[in-house]
Amino acid sequence: MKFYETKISLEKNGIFQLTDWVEKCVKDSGVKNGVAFLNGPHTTSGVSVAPDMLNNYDLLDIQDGFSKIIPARATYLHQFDNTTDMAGHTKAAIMNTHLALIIEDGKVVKGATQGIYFFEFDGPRVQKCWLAVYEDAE
Amino acid sequence: MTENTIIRQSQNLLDLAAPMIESVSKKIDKLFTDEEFKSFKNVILTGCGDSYIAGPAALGAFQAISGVRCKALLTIDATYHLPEDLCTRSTYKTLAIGTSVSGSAGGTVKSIINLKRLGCTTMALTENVNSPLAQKSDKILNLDPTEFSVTPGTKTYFCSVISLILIAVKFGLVNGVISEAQAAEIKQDIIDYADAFKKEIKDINKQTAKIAKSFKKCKHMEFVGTGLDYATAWFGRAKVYEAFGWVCTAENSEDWMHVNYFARRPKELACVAIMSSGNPSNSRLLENIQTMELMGRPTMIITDVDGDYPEDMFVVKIPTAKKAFIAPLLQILPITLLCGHMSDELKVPFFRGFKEPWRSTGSSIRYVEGEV
Amino acid sequence: MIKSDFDNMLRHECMDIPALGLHILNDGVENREDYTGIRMALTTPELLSARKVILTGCGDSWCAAVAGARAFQLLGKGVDAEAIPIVEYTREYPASAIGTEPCNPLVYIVSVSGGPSRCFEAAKRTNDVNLGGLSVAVTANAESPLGQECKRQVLTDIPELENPFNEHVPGCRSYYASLYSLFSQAIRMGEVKGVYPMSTAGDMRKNIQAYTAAVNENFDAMDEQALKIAKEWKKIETFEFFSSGADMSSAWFSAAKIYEATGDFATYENVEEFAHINLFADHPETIGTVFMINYKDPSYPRYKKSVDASVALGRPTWIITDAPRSDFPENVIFTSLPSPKYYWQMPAAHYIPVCLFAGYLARVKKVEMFRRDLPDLFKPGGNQLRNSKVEIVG
Repeated sequence: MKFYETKISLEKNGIFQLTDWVEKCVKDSGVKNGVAFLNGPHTTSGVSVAPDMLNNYDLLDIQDGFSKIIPARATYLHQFDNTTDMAGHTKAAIMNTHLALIIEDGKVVKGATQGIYFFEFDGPRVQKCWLAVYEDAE
Repeated sequence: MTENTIIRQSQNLLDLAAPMIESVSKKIDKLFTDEEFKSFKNVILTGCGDSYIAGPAALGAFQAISGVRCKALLTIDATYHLPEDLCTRSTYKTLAIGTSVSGSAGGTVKSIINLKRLGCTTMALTENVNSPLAQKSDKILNLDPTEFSVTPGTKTYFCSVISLILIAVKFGLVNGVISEAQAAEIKQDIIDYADAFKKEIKDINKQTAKIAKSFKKCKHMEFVGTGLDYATAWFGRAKVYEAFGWVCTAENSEDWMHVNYFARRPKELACVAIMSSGNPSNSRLLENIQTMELMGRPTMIITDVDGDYPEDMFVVKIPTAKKAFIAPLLQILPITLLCGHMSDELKVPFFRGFKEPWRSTGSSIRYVEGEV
Repeated sequence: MIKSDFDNMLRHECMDIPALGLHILNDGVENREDYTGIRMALTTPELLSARKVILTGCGDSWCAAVAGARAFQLLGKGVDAEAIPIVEYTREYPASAIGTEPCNPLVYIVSVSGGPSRCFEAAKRTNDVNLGGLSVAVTANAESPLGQECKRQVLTDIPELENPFNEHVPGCRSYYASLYSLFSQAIRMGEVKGVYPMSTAGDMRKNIQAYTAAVNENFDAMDEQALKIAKEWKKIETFEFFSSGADMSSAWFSAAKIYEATGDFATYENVEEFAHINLFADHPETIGTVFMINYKDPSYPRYKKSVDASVALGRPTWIITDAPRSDFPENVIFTSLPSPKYYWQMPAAHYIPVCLFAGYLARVKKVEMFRRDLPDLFKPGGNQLRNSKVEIVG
């Protein structure tokens, strides 16, 4: 297993494109066929495969959609943090903080218009990302 | 007994009430139209020294009858400590009144400049239309000149407070809080208050002369009062510094018990307690008086309340103002008279005679053009 | 070397401030394991509902309220925060402004002991007038009259400090604890309103204590200087303290310490009024004049003229500041403090040099604090703090 870590700086409700970094790590690992597990080890952010278009409207729609269904409000049971943080916990759980990716011929398998993205649901923050790359057993 | 200028002014200003009310009311009417007056929902009062104290003294009137929100601010706060969105966060307009009889107090000028910058409509309350304060304000309420003398401000304070009260009356009229009849009644109450004092002033003068002979053995003074009485306490403190140069304090009745109580040499510390009828905090002030008696503090009580006061204390009975917010206008007189007599007893000239080093250091209050 | 003859409990309290700060931050006072503690004293809806915040208290607690009000004004995103002297709040503040909408006003009543009648009165008035505002006790004593009457409690904790002198010491650690509580509440309000992220809020909380530690890094030098000043100023019986804005809390507090430690006469004023009023004090050479200056406060430019005037008058002048030495004349006593990361936190440690001085002054003058050497004159309860008549003005 090869392990990689990066730190990214995000604004409030920031979105970060991880595709390039993931592909670079996979190439660096030398793994031809296998799986890669992406993990954002935080409670107010998530990782997802999302449309990779000429503009970022889809990504903004995703953030907006989450905010509509899980708005920041004062009456969450969890009170320790602030309102956006409280909502961020729920958004992160629904989007999920882990992603499994197939590696074939040394590349990440994905659709032509798909990208790998980190979504911050609070911020601004500096967040970590971890990637573990595994090779198929021969 | 010589009558120095502060004693003379204290007696003469009682004749000022009626002519001032007429003259200043007319001037106020010309400042803004009724619609313009109505557009102001916030009023800021500011000034330095006595001119600042005129603000808290007039606050009672604004709170009772004006229909506007009113705050008295120190010039240092009005200049440096106000938020940038002071005027923009509200749809209502703010009128900022800077009081300075000379119009050259640097702190007041700078605060008016800043208040204007923040979006307030500004007004100068001054005797000098050519002064920096007047020139930098949008409007000028030009007070009739009082006699010039190097005297701890007494008449000037009275003129400032009465003008501010009359502005509160005007606001009350345009905002429909008071009727014309009620406004006329308030003005008459002020005149009646002054007339009531005229009957007592000779006795008060004699009494304070006697008190001065006792207090002159002390080294400091403490003024105690709460609410509107605190404005008088503060004024008293300023007069003591100006008239005979003792370091003194003004404190509210609660904090006096927490801190000033512990002064080591109580017999050297003269206390002046101010208690006007109807003041909700009088029960606490009575406890102060009990404690002062226990400590052996030489004490003068300025009050219109009949009561069982300790025998050793000097009780200066003053007339009752028909409306509580009028009391600060003349409640000060026992203090100014006392200060005059103390200055005589101690043979200390007012403002230290403006000799050096006070002469040159005193100029630090003047406004310097371009200074912000 | 400090002569042990002059050691005193105020000095020990000053030494302990950073440790107390760490205790409050880390030992379950700011945050308890069950999510209670200072941080969680008020819920998010309560903090969001408040449109008006009033801070009040007596004596030292009033000083903390003044410093706390500035924190709320800066961090509370538009909340109208005001410090009001407690008897003004209980007897003069208009009843029509209390309890006309939920959580308004939000009233922090500061008293570490929770005992004074006026504090209970403030709580009761807040609760009983109209529909009631939200009363919050800032105290170390949950069972006190104040603690019990208030709807919420911000509970601090001040561990006992060994007192080898067996003397009743002027409040110093208790003042820090009150300041911390109010600053923390202001930080929390800004945090829940999203004015800044949580990481910034955490940084602000830590820096309240960190500032005291930074000041006390120079403790030995401050200590030596305080004793030196006490010896030089041994004959002085009158003191005046000057500052500006919310830093008046430090000036007021310092004046109070003089009264408590030695019983000398002390007063406080803002730096502008020095030029209008205090300037005219006679015998200026007998007045210990102290300027407590916050370099980052916007009013800083105003100090120079007043300091120059103080020196020209021949007043013994002491400046306690984080401003550059070169900004002030040569012939003043100068205590240099570090700058706090957040300028409004300066009151958390600004008073330390004066407390050191006050303790030494009592020793140098051979007097006891709180007039324990005058028991006939200063009987316990003589100032009627806990048995003052309570009146609720509705």
